[in-house]
Amino acid sequence: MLKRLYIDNFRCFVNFEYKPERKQLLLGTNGSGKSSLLEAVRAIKEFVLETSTGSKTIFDSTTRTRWQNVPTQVFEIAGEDKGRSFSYRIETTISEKSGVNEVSAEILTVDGAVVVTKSKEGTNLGDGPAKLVPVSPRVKDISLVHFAKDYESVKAFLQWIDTLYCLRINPAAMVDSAVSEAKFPTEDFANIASYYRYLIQNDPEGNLGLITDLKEVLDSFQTFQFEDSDAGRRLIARFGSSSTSINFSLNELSDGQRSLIALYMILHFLIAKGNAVFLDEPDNFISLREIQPWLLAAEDAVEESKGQLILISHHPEILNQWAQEYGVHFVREENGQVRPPKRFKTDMDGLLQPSEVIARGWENE
Amino acid sequence: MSSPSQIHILVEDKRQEMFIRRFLLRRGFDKRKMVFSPVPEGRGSGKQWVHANFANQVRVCRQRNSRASTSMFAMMDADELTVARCLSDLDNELVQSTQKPLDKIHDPIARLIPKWSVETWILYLSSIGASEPSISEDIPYKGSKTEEQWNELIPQASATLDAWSKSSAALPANLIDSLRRGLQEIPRALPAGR
Repeated sequence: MLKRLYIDNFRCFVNFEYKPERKQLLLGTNGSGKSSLLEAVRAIKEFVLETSTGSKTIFDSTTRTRWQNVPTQVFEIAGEDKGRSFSYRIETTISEKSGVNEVSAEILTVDGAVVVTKSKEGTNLGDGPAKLVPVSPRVKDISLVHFAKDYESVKAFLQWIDTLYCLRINPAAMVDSAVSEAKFPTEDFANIASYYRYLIQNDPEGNLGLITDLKEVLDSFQTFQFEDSDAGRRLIARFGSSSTSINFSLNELSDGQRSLIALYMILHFLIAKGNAVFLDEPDNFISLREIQPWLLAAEDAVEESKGQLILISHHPEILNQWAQEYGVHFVREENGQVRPPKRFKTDMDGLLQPSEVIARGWENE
Repeated sequence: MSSPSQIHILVEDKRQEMFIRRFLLRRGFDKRKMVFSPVPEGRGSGKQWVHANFANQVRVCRQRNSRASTSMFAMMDADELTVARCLSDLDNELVQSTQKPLDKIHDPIARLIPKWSVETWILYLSSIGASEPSISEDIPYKGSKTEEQWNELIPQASATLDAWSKSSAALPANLIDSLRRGLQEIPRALPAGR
């Protein structure tokens, strides 16, 4: 579970701290920083897990806050997983020579003990006092955690980082063929076929739940299967009855149908497995009738798995279901930076639904 | 597209919503068969919300029930009032909206009113068989546990509610009164054979 996030000098975040709860709904007008928050989490994950080419976002100096002229960006995350606690901080500073960001400081703490540090004074990989280590060009874009001596702690940290998912389903981007298996979904679920190809091998219980739910949601849906094609193994959805069936490739389904498939995959394969899922606008493309059943099932799955679900949405159904209990509000100051999020509240007790309060612009009063 | 919902649930807070949902899932209802009115705006206003919406939702339930099976659960905390007083207040809402009072035979509507709060029921239903102290309706338990602790008790509590709300169930001798009344209400809102 992600317990704390600190961002400084990244897009609209200046000295910004956020402590998410197990279930949370991020509210706010367009441009209030909600999606940028996911971008920051994704960038940290990308950088930490990437061992070859480095993260694009974390080294992109154009992501610095526009109205400041500060060279250093700071990202910090803290959380817990399987009884262990983690805290990780990375600072990047724009190089006067190259004009791109370089890692200027990094520190990983596991269970309160420092595992690896990098600062102006030097680098400590857990093998004694800090020392200045010449960094090869190959290594400079890679997180130092991969070189720490305490590999057991690093492994636990990486496993925790693996449980953080920042997703925004885009049915138009979905590719219906799988050349190989993918252990993780891409941010937009474009690799849905490859991801599902991995899941049917590795999570039959989750797959059973997925198929059961999809039979309820998609008219006359039967099951999925893979067929050989020139582009790899093509994901096919079978519809019909036991006597007659019609096969459709994933790309022949509607945007709404593909979004629902992705949502129920997220429910059964990620949320129900105790991961921390950030989901940006899950209501896109799906019919009103389908929102509440998914939302309530997701809420139960979070409780059972002790996972985490953080939603971004403007949809009235989601606002009305979640804003009162789990809503936090993102607002930008006049100077552009995002204020620390506050709990959603209003004095319209019993008179207006949250969506009505928000539609009137009264949520900040 | 999903089939139409069959059971409408009006509750005053998230914990009640989770409790009823778990009970209905346990009873074998698919999650698409139930639909919840959004939990009301603002904290502490739940009872007002249920009151404000009860008559209208009863009207909706009665009207649709003439063409398709439709039932309703309404839940609100009694707080410092008696359960009888709360039931009477809900009846008054119907009268004021020019509707007939609830017909216990023909209206598939259950009114669940735990004394003090739903936490009394959750604690009682989840502590059966354990060496817990007996639960009293004289004590408000709401603040005695964290949100997470309450949520952890809900699956067991809803499972016991499911078992006890069946016609063949043997009920404990010391059953708390508000729960006894609730158990009498539940079968009305469940389709025959459930």
